[in-house]
Amino acid sequence: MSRQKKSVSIVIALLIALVGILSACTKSDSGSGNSGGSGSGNSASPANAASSASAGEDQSNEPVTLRMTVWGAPEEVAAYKVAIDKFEKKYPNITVKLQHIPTDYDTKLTTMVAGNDEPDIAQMESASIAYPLAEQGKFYNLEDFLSSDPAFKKEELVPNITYSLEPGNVIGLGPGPETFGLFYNEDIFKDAGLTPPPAKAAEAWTWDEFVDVAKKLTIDAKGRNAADPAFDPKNIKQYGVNIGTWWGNYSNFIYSNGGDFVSENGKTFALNQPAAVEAIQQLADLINVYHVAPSPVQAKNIPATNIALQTKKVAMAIDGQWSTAGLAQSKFHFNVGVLPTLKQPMTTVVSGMFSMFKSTKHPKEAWALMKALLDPDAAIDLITAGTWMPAYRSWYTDPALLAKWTENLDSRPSGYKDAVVDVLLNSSHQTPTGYVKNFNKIMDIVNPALDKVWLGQQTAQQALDSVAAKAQAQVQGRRDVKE
Amino acid sequence: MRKGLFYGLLFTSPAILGFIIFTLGPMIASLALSLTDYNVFKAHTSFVGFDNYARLFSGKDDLFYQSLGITFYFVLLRVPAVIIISFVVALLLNMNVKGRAVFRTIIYLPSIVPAVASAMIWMWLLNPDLGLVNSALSWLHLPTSNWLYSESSVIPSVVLTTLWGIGGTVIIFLAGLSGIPKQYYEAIEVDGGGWYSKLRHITLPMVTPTIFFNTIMAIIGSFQVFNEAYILTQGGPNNRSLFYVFYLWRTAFRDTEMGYASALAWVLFLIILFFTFIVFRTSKSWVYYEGGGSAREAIEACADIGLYRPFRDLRPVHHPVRVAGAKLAHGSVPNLHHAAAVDSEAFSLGQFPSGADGVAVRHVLRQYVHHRGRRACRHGRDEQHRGVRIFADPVERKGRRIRHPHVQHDAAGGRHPDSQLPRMEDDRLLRHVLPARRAVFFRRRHFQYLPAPSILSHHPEGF
Repeated sequence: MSRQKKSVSIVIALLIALVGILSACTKSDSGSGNSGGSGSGNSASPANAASSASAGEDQSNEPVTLRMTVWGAPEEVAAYKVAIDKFEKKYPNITVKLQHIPTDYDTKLTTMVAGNDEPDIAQMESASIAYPLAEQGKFYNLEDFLSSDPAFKKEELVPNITYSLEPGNVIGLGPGPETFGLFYNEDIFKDAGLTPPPAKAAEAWTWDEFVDVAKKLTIDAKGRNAADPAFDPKNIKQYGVNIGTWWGNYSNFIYSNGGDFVSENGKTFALNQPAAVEAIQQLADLINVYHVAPSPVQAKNIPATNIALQTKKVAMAIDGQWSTAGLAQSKFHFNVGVLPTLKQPMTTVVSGMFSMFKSTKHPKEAWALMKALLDPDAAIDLITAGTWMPAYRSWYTDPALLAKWTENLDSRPSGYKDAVVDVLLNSSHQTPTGYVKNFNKIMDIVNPALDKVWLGQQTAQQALDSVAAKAQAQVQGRRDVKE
Repeated sequence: MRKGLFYGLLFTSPAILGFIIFTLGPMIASLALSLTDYNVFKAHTSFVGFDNYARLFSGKDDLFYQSLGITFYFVLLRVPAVIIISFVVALLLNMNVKGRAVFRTIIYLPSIVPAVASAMIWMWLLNPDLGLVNSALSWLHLPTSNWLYSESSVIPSVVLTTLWGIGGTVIIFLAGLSGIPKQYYEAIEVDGGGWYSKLRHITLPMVTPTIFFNTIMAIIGSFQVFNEAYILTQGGPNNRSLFYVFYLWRTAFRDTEMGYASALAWVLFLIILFFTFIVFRTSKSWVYYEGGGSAREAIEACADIGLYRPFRDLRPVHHPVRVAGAKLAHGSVPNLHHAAAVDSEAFSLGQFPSGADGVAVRHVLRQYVHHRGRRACRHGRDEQHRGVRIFADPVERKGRRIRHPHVQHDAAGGRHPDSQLPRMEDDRLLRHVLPARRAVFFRRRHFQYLPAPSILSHHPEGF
């Protein structure tokens, strides 16, 4: 009996030992890479690495492998591959391994970080894990590269595509800005005999003009429009406008109205201040008072902007400029106008970013790759298709370069230059994710409250006041204010 | 012996290793992590003791309570629904109808559809404006609902979507149902019972082990609901479908607070453990295991050694009685050979003929014995049971006198005044139980027509 027990315990001990061995040998190679990253990587200042990167375009020829993770549609990945091929031709000693993570990107990247298996360069999203990672010092400060690389000037970048942890600590560079516009189906306006939305910011619709047109373009099942007293809001066949109720969309109007998510000094929750409340209430009124826009529930039936406009489910749609890629593929007469304004024309600029992990063993090469990715020439396919806009200012100001990506293309209708390009250069605002600290946690509290506003159960003031104290507890300041 | 053990462990090692590496190891790791402030992105992890648990229960984390409440609501709604509906479906599928295999396949089919695919289908079906469900309801002039998109209806809607996948549970119920011997139903027919009696007294008690198993699995599965929140609702609207595991996942992978998430996971583990434990504890009073031996054998032994005297007002059974293929009797059973004796005399079971004609009588007896179980056996009370009036012979135990409530006892105590039977005493009982058990065993082997005491809504352990 005791012998039996003994052998059992031996077997179990062996099993446990085996488990220990197995778990210990996971990713030992990258583990050492990480120790290099957190130890020596920290001590060797990135500035040195950057200066040596700038000092020598004549880099050493020892073979280097860079790993990069991206999300995105297949055509975006194809564009990355084009840019990478060019890059690899220029630097024959560098091999770039592109890892495409189409879904659950954040989860996957978190797991990679937990397993000390970070890539060298990663596409990051400011609204999710980029800042939590940056706050733990996982990224290089790109400012050092930007300021010391003679071949690259920060002023060359269009506004609002650099992401900073705090002033002077750039953690990511967007490969191109994305702004918002008012997309519409030209045929609907022609048939209704209405003037389409103006493209020039100076002529932008006031809110009343906008509501007026939206009413006339909202048609119920019996063909009456929302201005008609007999209009039946329960059976709407065509909505005047689809507003989309996520923060990207409504932030445009908060900024237009002079509001913000947090106060200027970053100390106070500001969405319950009059300017922001008014903007949100105006949007909610489109749904619940004028019945010209679908509620979030009804919006579940509204397909993507290109299909919704083409099938005349909506006459106008507030959406990002990236939707021009889809619109170009749906063959119908679409155009883009400038967003209606509350106080001043304004659009939020959102964009993904590329960040460099501190654990990289090859910061020079990684920086070179990042520059290559920002180069509009490399990503020209994506830019002409409509998904992206160029990152360099010269591509907006130099008529020859501007023509390259805005003229004679399905994705760039006649209003595009005025409504998107000019607005971006002259009246654009940084995305709140880029400067509001702890944005996710604040929005975790705000979003459920706003659900009630969109559904008409509460006014914006009531809803936002009711969560103001909780949201205030999550306010931690602004990244663009030096503390 | 040692060799056998070696090979046994060798061949089970894939399962054992899998368990240790992929289940036990991570569990221990997460228990350890739950005592730290481990955050994936943070360079330093330090031991914080029970701070994570304190934070959970301090009342600061509103979402913890919110998600816990919602998950309880979901479990409360889903578990009974799953058990009842899959039991009814299994009963229907167990009927001998044409095309039974086809129906069974149809019911099981959704279970092999991937969770994401079926969730997408439900999203369309429950779409408030275009969905098939609301279209059908409004066509019938019934009120429609916002289903997944309204705070009040989101949890019932999610329950509805999960009910589509009850195929697995139904299969287990079917297996349980088909394991019930036909004789039991025949015994009920002998008794003159209909479908309800069969369901209530045979089917339900006989599938209690299956119900037990399915209930536990349903409780565990319901507490761990995740897919639906992840795919259908993302926790909304207004966090009304923020299921516990979804919140846990969000904490771990969006907020990267692995230490805190591990604490959440362990709290859930303890909750599930607690409820499983509760179900196990109560199972003794409502789950009947046929093979579970002691109670039943003792009862049979109790009957066999004549502890009970039946036979007043035995209701005649006016059915042709068929048991195990032999046509036994028309008319009332006791009229067969011993009608007069039954009416006039008191028998002990041992004296009562155990032949074919006694089937119904014995059956009723056993039922009675079982039904009375501990209570009756100890207290010796008269009882009217399913038309049979039966006296219990009081049993005297050492140091304790059992008194018959309705009968005058003589000075010596314990003697039943109108009893012709000798007093049963403990020593005699003990002397008889073991041989009687053996006898029961052999009888079961050789006399298959004897229905076992199956009318067990609950079974006591011994008496």
